[in-house]
This record gives sequence, C-alpha cells and structure tokens, in this order.
Amino acid sequence: MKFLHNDLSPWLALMLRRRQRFLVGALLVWVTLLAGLALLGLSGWFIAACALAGIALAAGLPSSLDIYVPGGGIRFFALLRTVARYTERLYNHNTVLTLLADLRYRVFGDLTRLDDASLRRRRVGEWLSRLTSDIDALDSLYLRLLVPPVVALLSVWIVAGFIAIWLPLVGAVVACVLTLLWLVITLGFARLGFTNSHRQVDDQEELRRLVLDQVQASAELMSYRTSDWYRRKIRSHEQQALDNQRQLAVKAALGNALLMAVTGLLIIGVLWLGSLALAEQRVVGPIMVMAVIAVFGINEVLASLPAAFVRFGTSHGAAQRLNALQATQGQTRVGSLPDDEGGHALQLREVMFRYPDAASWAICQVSLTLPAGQRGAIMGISGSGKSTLANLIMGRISPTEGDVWVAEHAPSVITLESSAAHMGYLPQQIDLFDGSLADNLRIAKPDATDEELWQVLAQVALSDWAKRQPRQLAAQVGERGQQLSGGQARRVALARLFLRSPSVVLLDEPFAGVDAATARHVAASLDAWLVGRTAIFFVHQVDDAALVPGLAHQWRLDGGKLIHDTSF
Amino acid sequence: MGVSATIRQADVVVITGESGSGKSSLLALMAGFMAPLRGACRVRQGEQVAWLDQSPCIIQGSLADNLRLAAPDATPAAMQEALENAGLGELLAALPHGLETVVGERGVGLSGGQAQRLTLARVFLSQAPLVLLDEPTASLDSATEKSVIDALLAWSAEGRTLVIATHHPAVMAVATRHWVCRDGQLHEVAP
Repeated sequence: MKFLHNDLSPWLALMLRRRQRFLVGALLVWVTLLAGLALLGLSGWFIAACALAGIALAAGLPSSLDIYVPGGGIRFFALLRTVARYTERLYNHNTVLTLLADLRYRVFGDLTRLDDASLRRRRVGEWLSRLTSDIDALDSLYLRLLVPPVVALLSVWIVAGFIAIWLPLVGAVVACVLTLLWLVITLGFARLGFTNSHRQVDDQEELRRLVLDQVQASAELMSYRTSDWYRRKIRSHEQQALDNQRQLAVKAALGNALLMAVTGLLIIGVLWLGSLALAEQRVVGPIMVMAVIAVFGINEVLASLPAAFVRFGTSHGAAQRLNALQATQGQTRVGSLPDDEGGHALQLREVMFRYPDAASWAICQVSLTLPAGQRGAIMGISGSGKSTLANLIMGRISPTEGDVWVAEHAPSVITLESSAAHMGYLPQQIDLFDGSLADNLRIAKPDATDEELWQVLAQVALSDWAKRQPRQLAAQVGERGQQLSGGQARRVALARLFLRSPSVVLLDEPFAGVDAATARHVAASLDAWLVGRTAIFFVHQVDDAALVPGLAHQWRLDGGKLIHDTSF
Repeated sequence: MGVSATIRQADVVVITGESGSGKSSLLALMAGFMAPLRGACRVRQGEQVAWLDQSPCIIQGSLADNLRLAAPDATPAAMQEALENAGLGELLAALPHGLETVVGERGVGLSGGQAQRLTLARVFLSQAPLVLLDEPTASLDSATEKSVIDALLAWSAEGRTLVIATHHPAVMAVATRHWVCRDGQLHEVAP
C-alpha cells in the first residue's frame, strides 16, 4: 500500500489543487444518482399505492389516494435527474479537460528539463506515448477511480438510511451488505486485476517496439529471409497480450456477476424481511415496495466499479513511468555568464563522455582551448562525436569526466536564460515551426522589425526568394518547414541566429545542402557577423577555405578522440 | 534499362557509377526489395542474401536479438564467433551481460563504428552465399573501415559471392570484376 501511495501521491496532489471543482463534480454525480433512485423508489411506491387503492375500490371498500403530490414528486425527480445529469456531464467534462491540461503541462515540463542524453535513451514514439497514453491512464484516476466509488458509498448509505426510517433492520442489512460488497469490488478487484493490468501497459509498449523494429529492419528481414520468423515472433507476443486482456475482461465480468448476484439476493432478502414487517403491520405495502425498488436501483450506482478497479494497475503503471521522468532530471541551473564584449574563451580539459548504458565512450579525453574571439574548426565524419561535443559545450549534457569551461563557467549549470543570451548553436537538425517565415524568425527576437528581418534574410541570400513569394514575410514554411528545401531551412535557421547576439557560436555543418555560389555569399555574411565572437565550425571537412575564413585552429575528431591538425 | 549480366559463385563484383546512376536500384533488385518491370532477376531460389548498407540497422533489443535477424536459430557460441570475426570480441568480453546486453535504437548504446561491425557480424553468422553491400565504407572511421575490408576478404575466401557498390579504392582492390553503371546501363570493365 505504501508504494502505491508514494507512486500516486504527486498526481493526487496535482488533482487536489482543484478540489473545489472535484467536490462540485462529485456532488452533481451524487445528485444525479439520488434523483434516479428517488424516481425509481417513488414510482414503485406510487404504483403499489395506486394498485392497492384500485383493489380496495374494486372490492367496494372506501379508499382515497392523493395522486397529485406523488405525481408531482415523480415529475420533479425525473426533471431533476435529467438536468443534474446534463449539468454533471458538462461540468465534469470540463473538469477532465482541465485536469488533462494540468497533467500535460506537468509532464511536458518534466520532458523539457531532461538533458540530451536522457532524451536519446528512448524513441520519439515512446516520449509521445508518455504524453498521450500514460496521461490518459492517469486521467481515469479521477473519472473512474476517485469520484464513482465515493459517490457510490454515499448513495448506499443514504438509501439505507432512508429505508431505515420505516424498516430499521432492513436498512441495517442493506448498509452492511452493500458496504462489504463495495469493499470487495473496489479494493478486492484492484488487487485481483493488478498484475494483469500492469502487464497490459508493458505489453502495448513491447508490441509497438516490435512493430516499429520490423519496419526499420525490413531490408535485413527481407534479404535474410527472416520476415516470417519475425512475424511469428510478433504474433506470439500479440497472442500473449490478448490472453492477458482476456483474463482482465474475465475478471471484470466476474466482478459484475458478483455484483448482480449479491444485489439480487439482497432484493430477495429485503422483500422477505419487508413482507414479514408487512404481515406484522409494521409497514404499509407501498413503502415496502419502494424499499425493494430502491435496492434494485442501487445496482446502477455500483455497476461501473469492478471494470474500473481491475484496471487500476494501468493507472499505477503510468504514474510510475511518469515519476521516472522526474527522477532523471538534471542538476539545477544557477550560474550566469558575464556580459563581456568580444566573445568568451572555451576550454575543454580531459573531457570524457559516455551516454547512459552505452558500451563505450562517445567522447574520449578531449582537451582543447579556444581563446575569446577566435575561430576553430572541428572536422569529422558523422558519428565521430561532433554533435556530442557541441552539446557538451552548449551544456545540454554534462561530461562524465573532465571539465568544460565557457568563460570559466561550467555550461551545464548556467541558467537556460543566460545560456540562450550568450551562446548560439546551429544544430545539424533544424527545427522550423508550422507558421510564417516571420514567425519563425521572430522566435529569436520577438520585437524584430520587418526591416531587421529583411536584412538578415539578405545576409543568408534568402531575400530575393522571399520577395518572390506572394505573401513575402508571411509566406508559410509548412509543417517542420517542409515547404522549404533542406538548404533553405538551414539558411532560415542561420538568419534566426543572426538576429541574436551570442558571444559563443557553434555551427554544425552551416553550409549543408547549400550550393557553392550561395554558400560563399552566406560565408561572407557569417565572417562579418562573427567578428568579436568565439566560434567553432563542425564540418565533415574544410573543402573550401574561403567558406570558413579566419580559422585559428583546426582539429580532427575520429571515434571520439580529438587530434590537433597542424597541417594547415 | 535493358541490363543483362550474370554473376557466378565466388565472384567479387564492384559496381561504380555516379550517384543516381542506378547502382542502388540494381542491388535492391538482387536483394528482392523491388521487382523488375520487365525481365527477371534470378538468385538461387530460397537462398539467404546478406545485406549491408551505410546506415547500420540496430533494433532495440539485446546483441543476440540483433544477430537473430540474420539467423534466428544461431547458438550463443556461433554468435560469439561472429562478433569476434567482426572485431567486437573485445567489447563483448567487457560487457557484464554479454550477448544479452541491450543496445538501443539507432545504435545509441553503440558507437557508429560498433553498430556497423554488428551488421558485419550478422553477415558472418548468416552463411548467406550472396552478400550485397551498398557503399559499406561511407561515413566510417578509419578503424571500422579496415574491419569492413578485412571482412570482405574473409567472405571472399569463404567462397561467398560479393556485389559491392562503392568508390573506395581499397574495396575496389578486392574485386575480381568491375561494372560501371551509367544512365541505367551496365558496362563491364577490366578489374
């Protein structure tokens, strides 16, 4: 129980921030259920009373029955039930969407604080499933696991208390039996289905992984003639997952069967006890009928519980996985870089870096010094560790051993604001958002004027192209910038960098996908802009020295090791 | 376009040509990834074909899972031998979980060079008589490049047939035949 509490408490605390909403929501559910029960009970009483009055009249006995008050009551409860149900649905849907936003906000916040190394441990698809299916599973905590059982228990006691006004013994029996039943179908069934529902989450992730791998390895599977073998493997996993789901469904059905059996027996019991009381004239017929029918209606209040509680493990599993996100948060960032003119010096001393669980070092004993305002180039093929080295200097990951210094500060503990103000990075993978050209540029400088935007576009040789667009600066770049070519997208990203004023600049393949003539134009702008800044070019190799002018140092990175290139 | 050629067992064929000239398509046809529009591409029926390209495919799973893509029924001893042949013996010995070590997507747990060696180990394990290689040495560090060339020599010594699309001089030196692809046409030149 303790581990359940530990795993779920952060999420319950998050939900309890809106306890007022939840109380109102629960109250509305409760009113709806009670109105339904009252409608059923009162109708039972009314029909029975009418029948008795009719029989008496037929037998020629004097009899009178006020049909207006109970008739009005039935109309009132019928209307109340409809209105309460409508309001409850409206209100609780709003609550659930608010809750969903809270959860997403929290989980997304946790994701943004993960460093690059942690992010790379999982597929993009897995992170997406954290944000979608795990949050959905947690979401049901409120909608299926918190509100319904509380409301059900309250309703049970109200009904039992109501019956006890006329039939105390029957009321006590109803209260005891249904409270015990409530315990069994909530706590008991949560325990019964825990292992299966926990496994269901893992099964789904495993299946998703296998199917993705099948697509990714399709060349190998086809050529080695092992596709059938792999498909059989997926099928057997699928079978296991289906078996597990079937077991879970059987358990949920078992819960419902138990519920039906117990409430059925209870109705018979109430009928029996009520008849005895009727025979002893302790109660009138219609009241007895009302008690029986009210117990009949209580079934509805409890019906959703077994199926919800056998799946409790799903919510718990999701909470555990989301808690793990918080546990992997990096260190807190406190420092800030000084506002020196003329760039910051860079120094790496015996830096070693290994990705979590990696078999070997991605960066091995790298030492380099780049004085403030100078330019260097690090050459290496893809996979040689260039991006890792850039991420280390940017402070997106921390070295496993050794030190990285930017102006004598460790970049991984500098606040994100200070880092964004002083350090500029053109990564290999460019992120453009689905919006206009101007929107994408103004991410770097929200208050930039149109003239400034045109100026940076001219620096990256995109102004002529932009002028030819019908909507000019408002031209849409498309999802992930797919309306642009790879080279154009890189130049937009570079223009974005030009709008800022960093003292340290890292450029990962700035000219990839850019034709030679354009590259020379861009290189000239870059040369002018880089004056007074410290810069490192990460490139495959320096093909054309004119593209990277003013290099003071050149290094070669091979298999994570840095070699000072003295050949130039 | 109207390509006819025959490769005999144990031939080592190098295909050169500019990018876009159809080298990769030719290899994909031989591997069975594409069907010819007209004509036929016959590889001895039911035989395994080993495939290697410049982006090593590592699935999320153990080293053993990755090797099983090529040979589902391989024994641990055979897997170990294949890894040693591919130059991963040292790494394997250093891993506490050995063959059951989990390696990630895009070979995150492995460096680029180690990932490419793992794909070499697949070829060693598979015994496939025909090995197709699409630019196997592109974007490799110098040490891994040497492992690839050593592997090519080993396979050719085992009597396997190799078809390699490449421009690498050291790889071309291994070849017994040399084809040039130009505008979808194939020309054989002296090696």
